[in-house]
Amino acid sequence: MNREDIRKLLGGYAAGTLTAAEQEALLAAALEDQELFDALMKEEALRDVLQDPASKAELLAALDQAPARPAWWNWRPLIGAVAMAGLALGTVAVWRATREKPVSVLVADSVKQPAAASTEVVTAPPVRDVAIGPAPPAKPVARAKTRAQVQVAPESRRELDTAASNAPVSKDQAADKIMPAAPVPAAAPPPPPVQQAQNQVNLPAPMAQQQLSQSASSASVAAAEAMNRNAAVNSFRVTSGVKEISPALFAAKKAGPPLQWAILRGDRESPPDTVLDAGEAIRLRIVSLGPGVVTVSEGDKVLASGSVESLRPFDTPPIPFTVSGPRVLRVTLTMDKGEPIVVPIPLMYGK
Amino acid sequence: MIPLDGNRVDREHILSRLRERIVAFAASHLSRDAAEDLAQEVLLVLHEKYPQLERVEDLLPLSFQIVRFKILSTRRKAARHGEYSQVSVDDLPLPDPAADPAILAERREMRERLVTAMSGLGERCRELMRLKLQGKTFPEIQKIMGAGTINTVYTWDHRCRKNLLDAMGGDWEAKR
Repeated sequence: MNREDIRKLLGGYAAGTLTAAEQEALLAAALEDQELFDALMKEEALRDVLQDPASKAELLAALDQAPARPAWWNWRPLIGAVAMAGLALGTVAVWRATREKPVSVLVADSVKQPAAASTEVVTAPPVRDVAIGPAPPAKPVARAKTRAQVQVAPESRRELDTAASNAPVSKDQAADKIMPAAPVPAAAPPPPPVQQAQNQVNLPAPMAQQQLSQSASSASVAAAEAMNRNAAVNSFRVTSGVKEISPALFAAKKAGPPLQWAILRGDRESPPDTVLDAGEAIRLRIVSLGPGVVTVSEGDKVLASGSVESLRPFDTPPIPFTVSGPRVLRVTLTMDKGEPIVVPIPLMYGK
Repeated sequence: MIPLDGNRVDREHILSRLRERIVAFAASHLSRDAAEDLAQEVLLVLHEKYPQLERVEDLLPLSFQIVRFKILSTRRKAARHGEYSQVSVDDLPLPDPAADPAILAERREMRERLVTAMSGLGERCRELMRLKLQGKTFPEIQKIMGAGTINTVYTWDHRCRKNLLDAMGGDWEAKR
């Protein structure tokens, strides 16, 4: 045994539990090692106590009792509660850090447009429901004009606010008033054959259903070609972080066609097949997978228009309807590349 | 004869080494002269009362006990102010079968401190201490506690002893 190992026998010496060989090794080493000798001398007091039978019995009884707990042991319920609270806070913090950030919503406001500006008619190129395959790019003229309108938006917005404050009408009524009253000539050629069959092969059931409804109404999409962009007189503004889209809905929109829409009744989204109340003014929430210009029209009337960004909701102004029955709106998405995409929006107003 | 002579030579060698160790130890607690006197007194007791002891494992534990009692006695005499002129009871070795009251008091005090310190030990140390108090040797403890080697038990006991000593303030005896 080396010196360190021999020193480990000190505890056994005091307790008197060393074997004869261990004790001989320890004491022989102590005779040559002053430190070990001193250590053994200090153990003598303990050895004296441990050799006393009464003391030994008392120590054994003390060892059989429950061990003394440190003071903090009495606070263990509180410590556990604090630990759980910390864990919960950490979970919330991680969840908040990892969830998707709120998507700002584009909200289009209708603004009053000078009467002289409502005469220009722009003919849009032929469009199809869904852009499939190579196609010539759309004329940039229409987009340029629309962007120009967008830049005028703040001023127009101020005009609308002024008009609203001067006249005792609601914003919905004001929006209604600015709809172009005069019919716009629509000389639209018939649309090309619809090629959606290939596109719907692997779509989920709800999405396929929505796309089927789109293709069913796509026969009359040529009306969008004759939209009166001056009469559209729409602008939009971005309300960052004010409205959030639920992640589930957002994910569904990501997986759908290039253009998705939902009915907004107040601030709540409603399913597409909702039967609306007669005379109810609704808004549409449109989400595009790519940036472009969105135009909402009904027949020849352009109800709203504005630029959209990829996956960023675009809310139209309130769209009133005074009578009951079916109604078909159209949403046209014009992107930088490819042909415009037209999505029909069938609405049903009850009695 | 040869073994007897050999044993005697060993005893002389052991006592000689023992004297050196006692003087060095006592010098750290007493004066140098007192340490020399103490070592001489211890060897005198061993020579007069225990001439039959030859082995180191017999002589050392006994000498440790004698040294401890002598040092305690010296401290008590130094503490008794005004009594230096009186004759010490150590110089009048009257037979008394009962234990020394001072020793008993010190033992009781140390026992109480040990109980308090042991209550703060970990479960393994408490079990180890329990087995030692029951008289189990380290090989027996190794089997009972399922240690892989005897060195493991040595290490456990070394750490437990250190923990116990720390809990008692670094010294088995209370500092005065």
